[in-house]
Amino acid sequence: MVAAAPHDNALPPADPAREGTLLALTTELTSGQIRYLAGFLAGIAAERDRIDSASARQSTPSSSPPPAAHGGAAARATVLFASQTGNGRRIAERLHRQLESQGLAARLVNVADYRPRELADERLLYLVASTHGDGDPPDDARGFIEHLTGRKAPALPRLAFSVLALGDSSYPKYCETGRLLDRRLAELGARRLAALSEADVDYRSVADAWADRAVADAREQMQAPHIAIISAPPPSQSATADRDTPVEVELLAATRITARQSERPVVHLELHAPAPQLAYEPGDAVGVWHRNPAFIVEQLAALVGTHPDTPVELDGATRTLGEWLGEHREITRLARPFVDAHAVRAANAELDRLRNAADGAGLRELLRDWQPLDLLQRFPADWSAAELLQALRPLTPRLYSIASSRAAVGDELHLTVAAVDYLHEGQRRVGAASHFLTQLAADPATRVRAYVEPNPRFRLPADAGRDIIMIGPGTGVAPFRGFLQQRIESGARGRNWLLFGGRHLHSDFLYQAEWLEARRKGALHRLDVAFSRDQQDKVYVQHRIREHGAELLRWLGDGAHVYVCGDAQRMAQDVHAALRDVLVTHGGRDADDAEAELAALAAERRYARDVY
Amino acid sequence: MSTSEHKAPPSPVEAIKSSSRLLRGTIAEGLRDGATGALADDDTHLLKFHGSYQQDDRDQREERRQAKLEPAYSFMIRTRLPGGVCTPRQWLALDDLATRYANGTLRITTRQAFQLHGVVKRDLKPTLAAMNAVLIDTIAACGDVNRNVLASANPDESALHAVAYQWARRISEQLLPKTRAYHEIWLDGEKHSGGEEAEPVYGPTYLPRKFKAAVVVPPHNDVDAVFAGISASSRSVRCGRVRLDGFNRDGRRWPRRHPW
Repeated sequence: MVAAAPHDNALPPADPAREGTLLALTTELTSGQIRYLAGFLAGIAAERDRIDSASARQSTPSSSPPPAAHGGAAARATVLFASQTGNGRRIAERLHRQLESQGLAARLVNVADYRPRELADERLLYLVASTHGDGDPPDDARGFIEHLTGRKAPALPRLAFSVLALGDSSYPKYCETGRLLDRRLAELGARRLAALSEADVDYRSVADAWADRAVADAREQMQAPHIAIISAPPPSQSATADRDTPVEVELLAATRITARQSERPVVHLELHAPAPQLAYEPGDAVGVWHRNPAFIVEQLAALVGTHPDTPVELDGATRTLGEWLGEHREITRLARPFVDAHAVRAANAELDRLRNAADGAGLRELLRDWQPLDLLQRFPADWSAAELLQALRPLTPRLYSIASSRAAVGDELHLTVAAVDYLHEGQRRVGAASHFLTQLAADPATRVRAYVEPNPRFRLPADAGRDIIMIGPGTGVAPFRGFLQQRIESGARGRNWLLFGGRHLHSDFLYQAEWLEARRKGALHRLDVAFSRDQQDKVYVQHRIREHGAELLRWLGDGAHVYVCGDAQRMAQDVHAALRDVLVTHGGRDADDAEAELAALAAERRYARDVY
Repeated sequence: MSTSEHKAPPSPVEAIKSSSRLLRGTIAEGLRDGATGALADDDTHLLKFHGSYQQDDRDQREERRQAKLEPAYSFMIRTRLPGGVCTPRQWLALDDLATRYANGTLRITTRQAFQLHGVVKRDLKPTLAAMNAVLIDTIAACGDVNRNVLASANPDESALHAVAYQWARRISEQLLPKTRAYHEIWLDGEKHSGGEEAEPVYGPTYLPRKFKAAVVVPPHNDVDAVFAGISASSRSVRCGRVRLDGFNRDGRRWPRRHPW
């Protein structure tokens, strides 16, 4: 159609706002994804030309984009993801790519950007939903779940769907979010294309099978392909390291940053971070593949009556038991399937009582406070080496918030690691990854296998004039070191406010000297701290939030962004409640309005959390 | 006016003193700042007039610097105790503070005062408040003012001791700074701007350095009046009545061995 001609070129240069929007959309994408989009958009353009020319022949006006799918068969599949750490997003992206490569029209949407009322128009929905902590949905998914479980949820008789639930079986409420969504969609009348798939931290094989099935189903559900990729984009042969292709880097420095009097050793690590393999933005996390502590490996080997040097064949691979346990199995975190498998072998009444306690408290305690070794020692059972390896989960990398900005430190990546090291019934137990990392300094030859896990939900405001409020007690302060470095280096005009908490001012104020220096130079505009054990009554960051509520509300009124990083179980909830109280006490809202306002801030990405 | 009286510009510390609103500075704000165990640099000069020094543990400096922590700051607190006289009740209170807030020691100084060491910033106020509860203060125990006034120590040595002590008290009280800053900052006293107060003896910059006074009863120069800026000595026993009958204005003229 002739009317379309002026738009055949690139965006009109006279429309910088639109160009800005487009650029903003691309900031969170890798170059591979952008190349892919280029092809995808070309496909849409071709499809629109086709429709336009057809409608031109029929003399029907067609000035609007193609209408949303209506009618019987699905015109387009929607791949929706609710992801906390990025695994869900990755799986969804992959499925979306697969669908596109089959010529099936599909769109990929973060549940945070999804308007729930669109659901009624969907015909084919693939949902990847992760659960973090003990049954918590990703922050992004809260609004969606509220809508779906609320009274205004639409009937969905025309929808076909399939859900992939991601979870961690070391928590009792395993895959809770996915289970809930799967159940709820069915209740609303939607039709399951496949039974719910549940994937543990080693999600790969389950996720692949689910995606293969999804593509096959989509082919059946959909008519002829609507959009084809015009020029196949180069395969996403990205130069960046990822979970499965980490890069080995050198440790440049390791320093303990809590005083010797502190009960909590925290170590500041500096890794070499060559670009582009370890390119990152402040707010991103670094994934680290650790090696399990040798003394735990030895004890486990002894328990199955074998030496670590003994070769063991499993799934077609032969490694020594020490290698299997040291680098390929999760041996410091207990997961429910292992507890169940062990209980069958141990046939111990006390263990069964713990496991089956009605309120789940016993199981919760087991999963939280016990390691596999504790279980094996306390409730002996016969395991062969191969059986044990079979029952333990594959090793998974650990994620740490990056504590630096490339603008300030160049090709380095800093992280802040609290060493987990304690006695369980008189025996030393450690957190595998923190032990690995904090012991690195002792052996400078050790290299670290690492990759960057982007966290686009946790970013500095694009507008550098905006104020930011950073709430990060303990090691939760890590990303804010990167934030502040970035704001200083970029000359951002917005004000910076940090709220930190710890046990003792004297010994636990992480990066204290740097914060004080930044404050002295006027780069850190407010610094409020809460040290819980320095006085009779325990004081935490949430107390400071309430104390300075009026000021905080003024900052919010000026457009400030609020960031929370750290413990998800208690801190994040206490801080959330304190923020709500501030809106009530100083803003005159009622509790529901305050809650809705926080949700709106979250939707605007002005209230962002990185909690774990 | 001769050129020799031409005034030099004030030293940096004098500038701090004169702009401090009579020793207030920003000490109160500094005490409220929970992010650091230190006071602002300027305030550390003013703090001396309140009887306290900010210190840090040299042995931990390098270690803490590497740990990205500030130095291990703590404070010494020194009492004002004219003539070194302390009641049993006061002693018990000081003993308690030594273990509750300080490092467990209570030092007796050559100027007849007590010193607590290792008190952290957040404990400064409770410590001074507890002292105040037993009528001990730390005003002018350090700083460029008249320091703790000495008096001969042993009441058994001389019937004049009591008189010497009274004089030590009088001198100490007379030369106290008149600012209400101490009461405001440490004892939550009523706030004054500092504008309506004056220091008739010292002026806004106080003294260029410390000043010492001592009262001794010959023949014992036990408090070493030789080293005082002003010393009072007493002599004369007449008709069984003891009285103080003179002052020796310049300690340096005091002979090493008493002439009587």
